[in-house]
Parts: sequence; structure tokens; C-alpha cells
Amino acid sequence: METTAKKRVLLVDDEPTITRTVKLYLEGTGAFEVRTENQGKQAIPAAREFRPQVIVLDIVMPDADGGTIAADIKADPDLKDTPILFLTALVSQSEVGAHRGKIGGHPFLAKPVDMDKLVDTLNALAGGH
Amino acid sequence: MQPIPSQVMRTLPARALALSAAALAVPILGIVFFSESLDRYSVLLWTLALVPAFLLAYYRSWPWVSLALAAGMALLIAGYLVAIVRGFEAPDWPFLVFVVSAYIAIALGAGWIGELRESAAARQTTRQELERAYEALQRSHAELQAAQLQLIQAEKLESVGRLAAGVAHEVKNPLMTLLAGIQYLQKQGLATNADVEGLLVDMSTAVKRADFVIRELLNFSSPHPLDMKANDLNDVVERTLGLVKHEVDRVRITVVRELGEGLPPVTFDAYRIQQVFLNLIMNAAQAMDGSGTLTVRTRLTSASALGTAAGNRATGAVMSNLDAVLIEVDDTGPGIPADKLPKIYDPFFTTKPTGQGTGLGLSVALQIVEMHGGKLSIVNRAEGGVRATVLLRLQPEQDTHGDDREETRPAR
Ligand SMILES: Nc1ncnc2c1ncn2[C@@H]1O[C@H](COP(=O)(O)OP(=O)(O)OP(=O)(O)O)[C@@H](O)[C@H]1O
Ligand SMILES: [Mg+2]
Repeated sequence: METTAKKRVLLVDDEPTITRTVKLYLEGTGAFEVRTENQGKQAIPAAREFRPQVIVLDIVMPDADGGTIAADIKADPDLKDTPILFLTALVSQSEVGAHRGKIGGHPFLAKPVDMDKLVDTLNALAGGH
Repeated sequence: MQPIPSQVMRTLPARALALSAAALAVPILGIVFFSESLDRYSVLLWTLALVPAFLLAYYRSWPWVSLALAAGMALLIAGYLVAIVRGFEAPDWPFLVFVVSAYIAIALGAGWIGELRESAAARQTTRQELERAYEALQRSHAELQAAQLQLIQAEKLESVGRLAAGVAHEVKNPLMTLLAGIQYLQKQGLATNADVEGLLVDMSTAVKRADFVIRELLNFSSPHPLDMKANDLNDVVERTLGLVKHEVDRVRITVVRELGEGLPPVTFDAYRIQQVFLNLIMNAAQAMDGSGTLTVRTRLTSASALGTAAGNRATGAVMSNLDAVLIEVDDTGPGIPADKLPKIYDPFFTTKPTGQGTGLGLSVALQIVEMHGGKLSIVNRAEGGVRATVLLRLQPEQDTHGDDREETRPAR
């Protein structure tokens, strides 16, 4: 937390290679401070502690599904205002009940995500914070 | 209930007797009165008239006429006998024997003809029945075969679907890592020379291609609901041609547009239909390999032509209600060998080298067109090359698995 200008992002994905590379990229831009979490169940405790400006959630994880975690976040008085961005490997939207670019009211990006696009989306989500 | 039958029993024989007596009285009186004029020559003349008539009636199967003529012949003989008995005629027994035996011979002959006719008719019906049975058998065989093909196809699709959903998840995650990694290297300026830079570009292209293939597969195996809207067909065609412009410009392919003017709006899922045109145009361009002419045609037609997409031209003049549009993509490539034609719609059937064709293009196109209740046909043109024809109703019926609710529109 050396520079307040950096946007704090919590990245939750069960694949360590993804969290590692995405963290590398985002922090490489100099605009983000990223904390990663590979266990879905740890998402909320990590968020409480880290106080991110945006939470990026994978949807399909072995120990917890992103949709449930998002609902828990929205129900948490401390975290309920934190914007959520879903990352999904399922493009078949009928399966995740997605429409108009949103899943359960949250924006989502389909993997593999263009990093430029991820940066833009994160900036937009964290901007109003 | 009882009085009625007994009454009938009592009255019926009496009436029948009276009727038959009356019926018999006519010819008997006739014989008696006219026997006077019945000499041998008139018997012979009458015989010559009656016999051919009888044979004709018998042959044509007119039972009542034959019976009447036979009765006439019997009356003739009877009349002649009466004439002899009453002394108008000198008895000529050889003549009588001759006439009677001729009649008997004719009766026997007629019976024989009847038998022949009957057996011929029986043979005919047996043959017809056999033919009908054979046709029915052939039909049910064809139906069975079609059903089996459909089953195989459905099975294939279903397994593709299950596989695709699983594969998509497993593959997209590694692709994400790769893409993020490649873009990190690019962004950080870690590509220290042009070779590495080129390498990174190639790698990210490869990742995007893999992603595209997976997406196609997913689209194909679990199609989204259709987003039905009124569209300007020629607009969609133009947009598609715009998308393939660089593919076509790279080689010497001449694009000819024969787009119908003043076409009414057509209701379809523009994104999907564009995907269909894209696949057809790409196939045409790829088939021509370097140079040739690609012709894209649109025009108004009748949905009744849906059954005969290829033979549509012939009926063009008599179409009454123009309720569909037709899109044709012609190329001047080598065409499709007859043994390959039945397979081109199979998922993963391709004759293109690995990395260039997934073999999903036409199966996706067919699926989309059928979801719209339309028709896709691919034929070899007599002049060479292939003609792909798409027929779409202006207003498709709403029973396709599409569903036009706004909010189900998947984001892309
Ligand atoms: N216009 C055409 N001329 C000649 N052959 C064709 C034409 N269109 C299709 N084919 C044949 O049909 C096959 C299947 O076509 P399809 O579009 O389904 O797959 P593909 O083009 O091989 O791969 P993909 O479209 O997935 O990149 C092709 O490989 C080709 O052999
Ligand atoms: Mg193709």
C-alpha cells in the first residue's frame, strides 16, 4: 500500500498459473495492486482483510462456485459495495444464465481474456470508488 | 315381433310365384305368337346376331346383358321347337342338333374364357399386391435408414456437446494463462528482438484461433436461443463480404454481387445468419484456391420452394406468394466429388489440411438454417464449381428452438 493511486484487485481463481500471470501483468502496468486467492472459500476472508476495490471471480471452481461467493459478498455488510467481475471459461451463456453481458447482475469476461480489455474493465469498475 | 316374419313367410312365396309366372308368361306368349315366323333361316340369322353380342357382353363382364342374351338364345331354340310342334316348320333335326351343339360349344367356350379372365385378373391383383408390398417395404427400409442416420447424427452431436462443454473449461483456462503470459511479455517490452516479437504475435494468434475453435464447438453443441429481428438481407450479405474482404483480396477472386432490389425485411438472427454466409463464402473462396469468381445472389422467392431448393429456378415464374428469400453463393472451384457430398454436413468432416479446416463450417451452417426453419442445399453446378443455396422465410414460424425474448440475448 505504498501508493494510494494503485487500485486494489482481489483475484480469485483455482488455477495458480492464471492468478500468477494475471497478477504479473496487472502489477506490471503499475496501476494495480493485486492479491490472489486459489481457494474459493478463502475469497471472503481475503476480501475482508485486503479491502479490494474490485473482486475478480472465476465461476467454476472445485470447492465453491463463483455465483455463491458473489451472493455472499453482496450479503456481507462490509463488502456489499465492492464491484465484482466474473471470469468464465464457459462461453455457453445458456448454462450460466447470462444475459446482456451480465451474470447475476455482475459483468463478466470470457476466458481467455485480452489483458487490455481486463485492464479497461477493472479501471471502469474501480473508477467510481 | 313374431307376426312379421310369419307374414313375410306366407306372403313372399305367393308373390314370388305370381311375379315369376308373369315374367315367364311374356316369353312364352312371345314364343307362341311369333313361332309362326320362325323358320330355319330366321333362327340362323338371329343366332348370328345373338352369339357375337353374347360373347361381347360376356367378355366385357356385363352379367345382366349376357344373361338376357343367353335367355334370348334359349327362347330362340324354344320358339323353333314350338314352330315344329305347331307344324309351321318341317322338323329339321340335323339343323336343330347343329344349333344346339353350337350353343353348348359357345357356353363352354364362354366359361373357358371366363376362367382365363379370372385367373389373369387374379394374377394381376397378386402382382399388384406384391408390388405394393415391395414398395411399402422399400419405403419403410428407407425410413428406417433415415431414422438410423438421424440417430447416429443426434448421438454424434450429443457426445460432441458433452465433450465440448468439458473441453471448453479445461482448455480455456490454460489458454487464459498463455494469453496473459504472452501479453505480459509484449507489454513489458521483453521481446528483445524482432524474432521474439514475431514469435509472440504468432503465439497470441494461435491462442485466439484455439479459442475460436472451442467457441464454434460450444455454439454448435449447445446453441443459444435465436435473436429474431427484422433485417435488411443485402445489408447482412454486404457486412459478411466486408468481413472476408482481406481473405478474398489476398488472392485473385472476383466477387460478383447480384443482389435483388427492394427486398422486404427478413426476420432472422443476424449474427447467426452472418455466420452461415461467412462459412459458405469462406468455403467458396478456399475452394477456388487463388483465382475464380465468387457470385453472391439474393432474391425473393416462395417458401413452397423450400422443398426443392435446387429446382427452384424452374418454378420461379409461377410463384404466387413471395414469402421467402433465397441466397446463393456460387464458386468456380473444383466442385465436390460425389462420394464426399453426403458427408459434407458431418461435424469434423474436412478435406482441408489440419489447422485450416475444422470441418464444422457446414454443420454449423446447416444447424443455424434449420433453427430458422429454412433450407440449405449444396450442389455441384453443371458449369463446374459449387452452388450453396439458403432459403429463409420472411416470417419464420415460431417453433424453432429459438426464442425471441429480448433478455435471453446472450452477450458476445
Ligand atoms: N464450395 C466448396 N467447394 C468445394 N468443396 C467444398 C465447398 N464447400 C465445402 N466443401 C467441402 O466440404 C468440406 C466440409 O466443409 P466445412 O465448411 O464443413 O468444413 P471446412 O471448410 O473443411 O472447415 P471449417 O469450415 O470448419 O474451417 C470441406 O472440407 C470441403 O471438402
Ligand atoms: Mg468451411
